[in-house]
Amino acid sequence: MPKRSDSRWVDWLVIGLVVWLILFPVVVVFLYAFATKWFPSHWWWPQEFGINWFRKILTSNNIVTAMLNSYLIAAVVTLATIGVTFPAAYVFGARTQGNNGSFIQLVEGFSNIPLAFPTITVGIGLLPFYAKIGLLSSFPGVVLAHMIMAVPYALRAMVSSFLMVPPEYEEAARNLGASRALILRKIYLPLVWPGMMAGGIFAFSWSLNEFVLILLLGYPNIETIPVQVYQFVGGYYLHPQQAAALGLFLLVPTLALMFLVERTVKSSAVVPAGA
Amino acid sequence: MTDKTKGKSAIARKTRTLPEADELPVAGIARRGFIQTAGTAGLSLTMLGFIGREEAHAAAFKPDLTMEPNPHPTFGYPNWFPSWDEIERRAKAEGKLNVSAWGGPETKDHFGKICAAFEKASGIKTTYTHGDWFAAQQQVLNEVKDKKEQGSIDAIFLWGKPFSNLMQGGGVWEVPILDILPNGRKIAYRPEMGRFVHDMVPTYGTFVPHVNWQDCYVYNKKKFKREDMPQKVTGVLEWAKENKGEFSYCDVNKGGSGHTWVMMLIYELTGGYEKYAFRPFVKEIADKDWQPLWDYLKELEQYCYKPGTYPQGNNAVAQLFAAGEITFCPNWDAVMAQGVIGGTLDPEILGLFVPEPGIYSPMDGFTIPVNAPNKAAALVFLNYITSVEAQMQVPQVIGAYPVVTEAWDKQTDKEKNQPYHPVKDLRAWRDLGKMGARHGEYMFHMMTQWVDKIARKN
Amino acid sequence: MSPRRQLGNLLLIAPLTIFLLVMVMVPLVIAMLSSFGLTTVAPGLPGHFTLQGYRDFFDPSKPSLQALWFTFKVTLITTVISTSLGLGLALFMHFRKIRLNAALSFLVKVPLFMPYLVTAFVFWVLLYPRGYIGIIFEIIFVEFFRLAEEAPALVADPYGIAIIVCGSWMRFPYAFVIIHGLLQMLDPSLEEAARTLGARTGRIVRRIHLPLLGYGLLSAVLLNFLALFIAFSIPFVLGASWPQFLSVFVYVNAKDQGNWLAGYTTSVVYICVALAIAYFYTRALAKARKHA
Repeated sequence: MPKRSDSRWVDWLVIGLVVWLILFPVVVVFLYAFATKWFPSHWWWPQEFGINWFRKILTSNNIVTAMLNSYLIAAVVTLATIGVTFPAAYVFGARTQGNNGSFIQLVEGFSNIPLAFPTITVGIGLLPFYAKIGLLSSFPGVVLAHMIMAVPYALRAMVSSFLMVPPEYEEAARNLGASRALILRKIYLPLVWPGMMAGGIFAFSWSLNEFVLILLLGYPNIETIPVQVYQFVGGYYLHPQQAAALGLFLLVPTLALMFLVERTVKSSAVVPAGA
Repeated sequence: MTDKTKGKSAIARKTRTLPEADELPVAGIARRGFIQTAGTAGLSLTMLGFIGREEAHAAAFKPDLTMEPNPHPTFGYPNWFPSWDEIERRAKAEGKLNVSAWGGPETKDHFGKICAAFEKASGIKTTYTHGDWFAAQQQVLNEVKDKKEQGSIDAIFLWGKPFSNLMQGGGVWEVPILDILPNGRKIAYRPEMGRFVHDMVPTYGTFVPHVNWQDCYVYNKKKFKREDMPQKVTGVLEWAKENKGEFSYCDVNKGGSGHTWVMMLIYELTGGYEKYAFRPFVKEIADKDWQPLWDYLKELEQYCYKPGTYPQGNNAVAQLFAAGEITFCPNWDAVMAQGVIGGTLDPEILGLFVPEPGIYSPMDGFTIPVNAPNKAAALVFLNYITSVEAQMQVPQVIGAYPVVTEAWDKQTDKEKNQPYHPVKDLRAWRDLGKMGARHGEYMFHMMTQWVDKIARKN
Repeated sequence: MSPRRQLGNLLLIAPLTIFLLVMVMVPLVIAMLSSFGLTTVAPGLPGHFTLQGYRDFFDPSKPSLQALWFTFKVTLITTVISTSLGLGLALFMHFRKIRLNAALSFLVKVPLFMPYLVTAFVFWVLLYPRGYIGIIFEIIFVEFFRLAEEAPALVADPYGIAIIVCGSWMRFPYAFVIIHGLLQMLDPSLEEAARTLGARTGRIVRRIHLPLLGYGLLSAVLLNFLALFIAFSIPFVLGASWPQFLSVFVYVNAKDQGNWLAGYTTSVVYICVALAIAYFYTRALAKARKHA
């Protein structure tokens, strides 16, 4: 085994480099958020720090409502996405399935389409439809629109997990007379949990970041933080400091949340499946 | 009778200073007796006066000759026509209001504050939504198309193109609201100031201007003197030849400072303002006559900063300017103001002026959608934001000019002397001086062509 | 398969099917019809059949094909870079037996949770000529190696450098997370057996890991590719005036210029290209599934 303590520094170097690469842009966000005076001629470091931008944002944005909206929508999108995709991922992915019929294959292929949907097209496609059925500027409307992009992501992640589960497990359980629902719950659920987490996390982060659809379909009742960030970053109105400060309202809670998830999942680590 | 002679003599006095006056049908107009008061005569003079704008300027046209409010306003109203008092009563009864606008952080700040102040002053619950121009306009159009009688927006902030879209889509409440507002009289009586046209889109009085951004020539005053800079709009090419790599303008589709400047070049290079002003859009003119413009921009490109790349937006240019990468660019007063206020631009390097004959800049403002649920409240709100007190906020918060000139006159000297305001005497320069408007349709056409003609390499 | 089981399968995919039918078919059909001018959902659509949109799109003198090619090129480069970074890191950690502890696993995912727009603008301020990377680049490129008189633009540049850099940063954790997860699930006895037989690391990776990772790796590649292919925030903030990313092209055409016919046509072509990619991908998957 090439594991000698004297080469440990290589590990540290590589990991350190990766961590630095990841954190550097994040640090810059913080710098911009707190820099109240930073002339480009003084490029290496801001000249003055302060919390002016935060004060400004707190007075001029409905920041609390926007945050609540952001997280609530993302959470509902995640749950609904998993609810829709988990059973389907079993059908598409489990190795006990053998060859699926052509209809099922068609559905699986079709589920990829939204991955190639420019959001502006989805938005303008749904706008007249929503206007007809009265979903415009409503919470369910926005959630459904977000699921369009979240579903294929979650589906892919979960299908790969189902694929990793050895078929013998299900066969054994079936021989013992277990029902499908029971098999799904007792055998697959713990085993594909990582895939589900991955899918859920992607659905969550996608929804949390999305702004074009909310702008088009949620306006004016539903506003989230990315929509507010967009107003500081769009071509016309770039404002790095306020965008950075506002971005922190999304970034910091998300990272805190992810850290917690990371810890819970780890402590209940059922992960190693294909042993 | 006395009125008539007064009118005539006023015209005569003005025409004397106009060399070309003999060719103008002024006398004929007066004889026919159509125009009786000095104010309207002056107005028609300015419109005709584009022929000799310098001279029209000298002719003492006083658009700020506003009249005092009628002391007995309600006398004239039959009971089926709501007086202003009645409108205010109804607004109170409606009790709420949804305002929609877009713009940079400073605009958001501004409207947030003004809506809060209005709510406090009027007791009408005011919700402000900051969105983007496209989404809000599209929402109204979709509601209208779906025949939804109760819309979701009461007052909507627009630039020329969405205003035109909304007008054509039947989304505007076609009532001359500007003339209903008591404070509407405070806006200088000039056609370009949203009275008749918004970016040359006819308004029919349905539009209330609010803020006057001014596109300027911005230069690094540590490196250059004002005299070194191009004095005319079209002088940029020559200057850029001498100072290679020092000039840049933003992608015209990503920032108004770019397309407003190029619009001015269209006026100057392809036949003059008169050719376009107050005239409908004719695509053939653009196809046929714009070659000098494209040649100019194409030639300019090779002397620009990092030729072939264009900064993506007003702030991107401002950032390059602040960084000393470029020393000269067209940009908005408000954008430079935010640089200074936000601590990213050293005010010591900021020089700013408007070249000859001007860079005609927009007056963006509000209209009321046809399906606005709270129209009376919207009227009261628009009247409030046109008051001198509210207008005084425009230069202070946004860094642009107010449309009510009195609100500029009342600013402190410190505010007037901020380096990002190109002109101190707004009244003489804007209301009484040379002024024009962008032609929205031509400008828009140019924007759709620009990538193909200039940015894209073939 | 028994008919009962088949019925059960249909029931299991019913929610997904209904969702796809309503929420995906509707915008898809509207986009399709509109691209032929058959609807009036957006301003400027004629309301009768026309092929004008497609004629314009495939006209080589018009910009659309250029935009498509540029998008494909930039996306491909970014996918290769981001997936290689993710794969390399995952394999490195696997071989060096570095445990992915909570802190590290969390750190790696940070780019996934940065608001896209904030990420894009951070790279803008890093890469623009007076940004940290811009200045370092200029020092190396111009002052040290004297490769050119003037450093080329790194943002809003015609080669899409900024999009590639930012996209790689954003998407490499995705590849890493998937591949690392798969490596964990891998049967360690295979590797040990190969080592006992004296195989070198490179050979082990080629003969054991890559085939076994096949499905997951392909999946990561495809999702990275498609996510970047339709990315909007990054090219919107970092892209040049020309060439334009296809998503920005749709946005500019439709929203800024009111040319909805071109917007819808481009969208439909966009979707067709992605479908073609998805088709080849499904075939590759079928093969990978057989190997796994």
